[in-house]
Amino acid sequence: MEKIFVKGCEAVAEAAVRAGCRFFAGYPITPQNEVPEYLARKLPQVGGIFVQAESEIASISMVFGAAAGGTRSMTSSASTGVSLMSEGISALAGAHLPAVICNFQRSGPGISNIQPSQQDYNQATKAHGHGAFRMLVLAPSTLQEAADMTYRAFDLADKYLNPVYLLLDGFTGAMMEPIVFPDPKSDEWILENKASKAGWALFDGNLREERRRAMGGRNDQEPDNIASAEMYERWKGTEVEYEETLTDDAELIITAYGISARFAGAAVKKLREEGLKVGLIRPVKVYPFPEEAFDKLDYTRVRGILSVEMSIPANFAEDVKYAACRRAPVKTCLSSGGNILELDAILDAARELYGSR
Amino acid sequence: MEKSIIVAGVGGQGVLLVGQTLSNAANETTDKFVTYFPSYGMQKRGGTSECYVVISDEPIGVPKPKLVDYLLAFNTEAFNRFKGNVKPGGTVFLNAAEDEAESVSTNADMLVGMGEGAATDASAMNECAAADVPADTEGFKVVRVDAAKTAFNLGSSKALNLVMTGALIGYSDLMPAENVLQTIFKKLGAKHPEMNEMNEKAYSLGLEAGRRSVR
Repeated sequence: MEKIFVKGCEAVAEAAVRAGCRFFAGYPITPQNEVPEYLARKLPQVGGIFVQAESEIASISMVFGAAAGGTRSMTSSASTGVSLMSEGISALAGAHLPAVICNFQRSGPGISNIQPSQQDYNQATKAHGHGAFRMLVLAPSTLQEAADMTYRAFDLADKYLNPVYLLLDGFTGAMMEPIVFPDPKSDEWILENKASKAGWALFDGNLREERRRAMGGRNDQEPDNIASAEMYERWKGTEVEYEETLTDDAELIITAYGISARFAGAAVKKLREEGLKVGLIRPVKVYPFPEEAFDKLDYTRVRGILSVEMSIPANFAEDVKYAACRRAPVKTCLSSGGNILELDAILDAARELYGSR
Repeated sequence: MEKSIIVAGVGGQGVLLVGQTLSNAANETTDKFVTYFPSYGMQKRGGTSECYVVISDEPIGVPKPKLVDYLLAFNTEAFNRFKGNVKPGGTVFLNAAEDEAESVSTNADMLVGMGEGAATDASAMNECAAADVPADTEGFKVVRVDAAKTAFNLGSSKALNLVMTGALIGYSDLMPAENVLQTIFKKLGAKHPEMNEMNEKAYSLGLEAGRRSVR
């Protein structure tokens, strides 16, 4: 299979097209502009629709419309732009509509700068908008994974009738790496997929009663919230996804997601070469959080857990602490404001924690 | 084996293009792993611009390493910005344009005493001078490439980046020279086939300069 050398943004955009995405609306923001740039060119070629909207709010609203019409739809933005989409993301979850939202995180808070970060973790996993809904949050660590996860995200959105969130970062978006793309869905498959949504989608202006209620608000909200909560609970059994590397005999665990996990993996390799028993836990999805990976650890052996992320204050580490449940000390190695993690900093923090007992 | 490269200069010099060309060549003509990471400010032309390339036999953990084996500095400012990021025993390829010769000398003591020969020898149209300077306290070697002048003499200052690319490939054993040239034809020639001849010339002159610098 041919490995194609692509940018992270292009990997996501091309994988979306191959997954059958036929509608994209977005508003430009660095560092994800190559996503709309790519789709502006590509979508019309495959019979899809690309819209550069007038704002993020308009973008997410258009995605809502396309998803309600049964079309596989996506939007993409970066941090401050995703914040503007919050209301629309909540609306998608409230109306049980499948769509894919990409966030190529950049520095924050506020407008800050265009450099990479992982500062939107809490927003992505806990509070994408008002109303206490949840989304599956996929956090690719390599470009191959970015493409594969984008492809899968559309299936997950359709399966659960819920928006799916791809938590990326400016580093992953800008870097290039050779990847193998998943096979494109055929036009026939895409038509069948759309037809399979006839039970709820709004075809030909046919406003089905059930759908109209979903979109217009409802008085009997609680039963719907209970059903959603039950679905989120089921995810904890079926959708947890993580990767363990050399954890069996590990006395120190490094944990990280996305781009940080790449750096953390390099640290584990280096520390093993030094003879230190260090392992890696990498959540592949950050929601639902893989608490079981931390429950499986032998805490008579584990001296500590080092949580690594490009966010100050730490976000991801809060979930790690919750999962570790005071069974081992959790320390952090952090960067933010657009500063990329340095391998040496992770190594130093790990060595210190390793020798701390 | 893992080799890492920083290419640095200002927007408009083709810094990112060099990184992409090296990465593409490595991807298409070897079975090695490769990553490319660009970093640039909000300005396009004139702003600082740099990229990182890592080529490895194993999956790559850190696409933006702190210390690299090779630095391609397209101007003095880029050299000063990244000279602290070169591994001990690493090599810097410095575009030593004539108008910069003085500032280079004052900014980096190691370059003093390299002689003026490098710059003046290059006055011949089809020659690119390169002189390497013994590493000093910084612990790396500097190969001075008369890239700007060579490119100018060839008829396009834009070809500076290919002279620098050639110097790196000629000096190192990163990839066979022909592989990179084929990628240059494929990627650059796709848009501007009429430039193939000059691109090849710029690359070849850099290549020879790089080869001459190997001691």
